[in-house]
Amino acid sequence: MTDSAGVPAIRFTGCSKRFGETVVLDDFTWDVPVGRRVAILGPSGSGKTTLLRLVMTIERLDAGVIEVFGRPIATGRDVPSSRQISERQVREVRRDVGMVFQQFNLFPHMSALQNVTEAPIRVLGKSKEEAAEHGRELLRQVGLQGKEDAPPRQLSGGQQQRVAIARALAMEPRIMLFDEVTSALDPELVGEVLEVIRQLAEHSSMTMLLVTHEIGFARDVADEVLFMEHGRVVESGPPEQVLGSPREERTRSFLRAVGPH
Amino acid sequence: MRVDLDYAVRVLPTLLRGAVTTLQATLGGMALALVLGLAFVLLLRSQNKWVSRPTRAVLEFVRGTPLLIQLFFLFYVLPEWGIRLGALGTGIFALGLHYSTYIAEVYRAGIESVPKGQWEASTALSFSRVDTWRRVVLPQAVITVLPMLGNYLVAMFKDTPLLATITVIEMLGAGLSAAASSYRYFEVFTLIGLIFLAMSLPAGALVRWLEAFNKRYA
Repeated sequence: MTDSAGVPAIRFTGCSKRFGETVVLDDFTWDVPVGRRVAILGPSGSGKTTLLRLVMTIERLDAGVIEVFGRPIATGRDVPSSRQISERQVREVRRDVGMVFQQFNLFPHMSALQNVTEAPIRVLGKSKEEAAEHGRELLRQVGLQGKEDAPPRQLSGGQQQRVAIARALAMEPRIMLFDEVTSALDPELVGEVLEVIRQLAEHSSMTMLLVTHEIGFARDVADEVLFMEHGRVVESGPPEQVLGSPREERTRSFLRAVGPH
Repeated sequence: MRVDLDYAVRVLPTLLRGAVTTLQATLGGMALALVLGLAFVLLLRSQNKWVSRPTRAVLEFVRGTPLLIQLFFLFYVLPEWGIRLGALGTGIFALGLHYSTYIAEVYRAGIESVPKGQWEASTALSFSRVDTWRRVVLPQAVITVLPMLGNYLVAMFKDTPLLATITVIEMLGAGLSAAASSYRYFEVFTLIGLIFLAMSLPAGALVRWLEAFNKRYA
């Protein structure tokens, strides 16, 4: 792979995943170009969250391959053992990917700053001073200056989610996965989190996958919208097309159901 | 019957010297139980059936047999195998081994109480398995179960008189030999009871404080 310009940030090839009898991803093939911001929409159970969790290697792939910048990060059971990848390789490739969860998943026994600095110190081998300096800067960027020493339980949901964003950014990933990051928040706290992501999209060149129910936000931030159902892509394209004049009836009825935007 | 207060005062230093041994046995036994318990729970959670099943069998065996029998077995049989720990060492080993099997279950409950999201966040941050356990899972698991560990500490403390049966001169051992010559059983055993009580009351208070701390923390 000499021509790195042509290598996608993420490449899904023939990916399938089922939980018991339920197929959540069905022979899914898709390239995400470097720097692309993709909003993934769809009814619950459509496989959109699973898609992110497979890239993050939280779920195991049943079949197919997922590559990140041309290097495999997940391989299905159908892949011959000679092409299976070691845990070590996975960890190596995974450093390029960061994820923010619906439930924040902050470490409750650490302060906001420790949440942000722990992985750079343990995984990237940064010095404590260097990690703390970068961590403070990141917390400032997400508007949490002065909250460095606060434990998560003393922060609002919106603040916790912003710490979680800073924590993911501290690993300097080239790809960020946002999994319904505002779904667990009180309505009045949604705006502050979306604003942080908007700023991030504006001021960085990161590739982003955003699973969201916020249609307005998807329209603002994304340059591609993917509409999924039953583990398959129903329709994809630029936001103005998919959200404005969807081709598929299923997309239209979903957009009607989630309400005006 | 007359209570001989003078005798009580005279025998007190002997009993307190025994109490020091009692404390040594408790703290040593607990330290061993905490470490062994952790080893057991990690083996128990192994994906490999050839590791987890024998571990479960060992835990069932140790829990299912009396501590007193284990003490005698270790005290009389280990030297035959060339392992000489001394009386106190054997006592600490037996207490630690016995209680580790309970503490392994306590750890297991604590580990299972850590939400799945914590493991997922650790994966997303590319923590190694060791760091995930050491920095994320175990600290949370241990905080949750601290009150339960405190209860086992008190229980072990109250089991230390068993060590008198393998010649350890802890509080009971010291009291028995004093009473054997003075026949002042009432004074000796009352004092021993009071000293036990004086030491376990603060420990009980500590456990309740830990419970309150956890409620606040959660």
